[in-house]
Amino acid sequence: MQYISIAFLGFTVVSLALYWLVPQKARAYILLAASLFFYALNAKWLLLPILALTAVVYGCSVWIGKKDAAFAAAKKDMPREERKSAKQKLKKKKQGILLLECAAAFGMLIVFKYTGFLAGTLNAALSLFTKAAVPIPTLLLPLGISYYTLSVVSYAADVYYGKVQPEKNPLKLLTYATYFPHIVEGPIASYAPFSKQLDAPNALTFDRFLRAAERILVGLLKKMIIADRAGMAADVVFSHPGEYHFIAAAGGIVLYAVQLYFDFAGCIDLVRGVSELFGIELAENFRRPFFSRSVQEFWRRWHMTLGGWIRNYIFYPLSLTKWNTRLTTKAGTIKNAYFRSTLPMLLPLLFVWLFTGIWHGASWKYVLYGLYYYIILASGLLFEPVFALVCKKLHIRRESGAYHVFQILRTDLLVLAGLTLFRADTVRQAGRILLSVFQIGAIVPELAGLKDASTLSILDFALLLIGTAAFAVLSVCEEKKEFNLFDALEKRPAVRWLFVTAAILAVIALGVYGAGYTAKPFVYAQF
Amino acid sequence: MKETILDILAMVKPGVDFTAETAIIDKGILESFDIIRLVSLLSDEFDVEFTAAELVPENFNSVDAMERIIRELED
Repeated sequence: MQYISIAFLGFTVVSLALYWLVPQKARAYILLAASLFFYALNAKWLLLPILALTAVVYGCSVWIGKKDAAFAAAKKDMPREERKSAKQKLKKKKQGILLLECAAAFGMLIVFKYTGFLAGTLNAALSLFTKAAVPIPTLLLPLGISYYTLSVVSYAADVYYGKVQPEKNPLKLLTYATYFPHIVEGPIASYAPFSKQLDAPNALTFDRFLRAAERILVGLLKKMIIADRAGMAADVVFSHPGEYHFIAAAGGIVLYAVQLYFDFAGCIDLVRGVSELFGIELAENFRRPFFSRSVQEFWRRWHMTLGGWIRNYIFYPLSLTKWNTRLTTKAGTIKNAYFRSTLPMLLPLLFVWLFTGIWHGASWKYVLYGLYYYIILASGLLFEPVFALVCKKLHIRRESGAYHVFQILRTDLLVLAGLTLFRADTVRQAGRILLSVFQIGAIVPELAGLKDASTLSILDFALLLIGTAAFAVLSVCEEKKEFNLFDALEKRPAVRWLFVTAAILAVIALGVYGAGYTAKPFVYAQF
Repeated sequence: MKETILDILAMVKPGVDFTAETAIIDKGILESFDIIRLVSLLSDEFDVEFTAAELVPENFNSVDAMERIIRELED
């Protein structure tokens, strides 16, 4: 059952009706039943490993909670030194339990998502010495396993750090882990705000309903009017690497960026809208990333919940580990304060980007994709004093508007090159497409060929352009004036109804539909 | 202690007046790299050991909050 389908609409309406009809105490169970039904319908028996892992994480977290409670009770009567040593022992035990949880969670992810990749890599290595090869298994991937894994690990780590109390009710934890609006593409939710909202007395007011509906409509506009059309044209360039040059090739790359952004951001709008209908507000996942002035900023504004997860559960803990602290101490001999505090960050950052790359897909291409961003960010950090000096010597004001525009364009170009690698089937193909941007071909015939091959009409291209331009103007307003579309609509009821009516008509009349009025699958669902 | 924290903040992010700021993290004045840089310098200066559990906005949104968490870690 895809999110944009008649079946999902029916499923959501029935779930909502049941959810709001039953007493407050029973609502979480309706949500759990709906989520399990959605999961089982889509993934069938693959629900079982998800249930098993949730049970492991639940049990381990309760175990950590008991250890913490026992220490809290005993420490009052302990002298300072004894308390310190008991605290160290407790830390070690808790680390062991957390390690067990992470091994179970990531172990399951590796088995389902990476076994084929690992077997293929092993075979490539073996082929250098022998003809023997290990069989490459073809395992079905449990729906949303990458998002599910990050959610349960964040809960386990938050319990370990004492940021949340271990959940006593296993069904409530299961509701969080399998919550159907966010299981497929995120956004990745933290347990504390999710659980708080699940327990809070709530009501579906007409205003909340309308606001959620507006968000869903914006998501549908992004996905069905812009993303799916952009994807049809981008697919042509990416499935014929090197055959389109200059403007056509560059256009294909830009259209892929348009497709990915509007597809993913559209899905998140839809998911957040559906979740709002259940009274649960999910975190924002995009904040106009293409207005970023550095690649680092881009990743703070693109897929924000993944970035936040990686920062909190990989970058910070790795940066503060003993071995990294030792590196920091060694770096302490460096006279320059900037390099002294920057160098120890480089190794954790490497892990961060290798993780980001491989999380997106089980292939060496994604490893390279992560390394690409690592090199950019590490060079940016290391050469920052040089950039500052160059700007000073050339009398460039780094706070001027012109410099900001230059920074945005530079960031977007680097991101577009990264997206080419992300979308292309192989690294070689990505290279061919990027090179072809710098080769002048027969511009007009190539553009005409691209249009014909995409099967899009002039009207389709016009809609794509108008839609993208409309959201670009909206983004400029949001960026410059802290404007918020939904707040603005709420203040003007006439405009609000006009917008809702126009959006419904636009989605029905101008949306791209497949068989059975089902939209194309969301791109990020495959990760 | 406050003066020392302010000196370290000035090294991490020059040109910002941190004295009365109460939303250093929430406003994005310091981001993840700055935090690690700040924590590394604070650890050296005050001989305390931060863990990832302490790296939450509440502990770094103001100089007062930083002073509070350092005192807690010193205990």
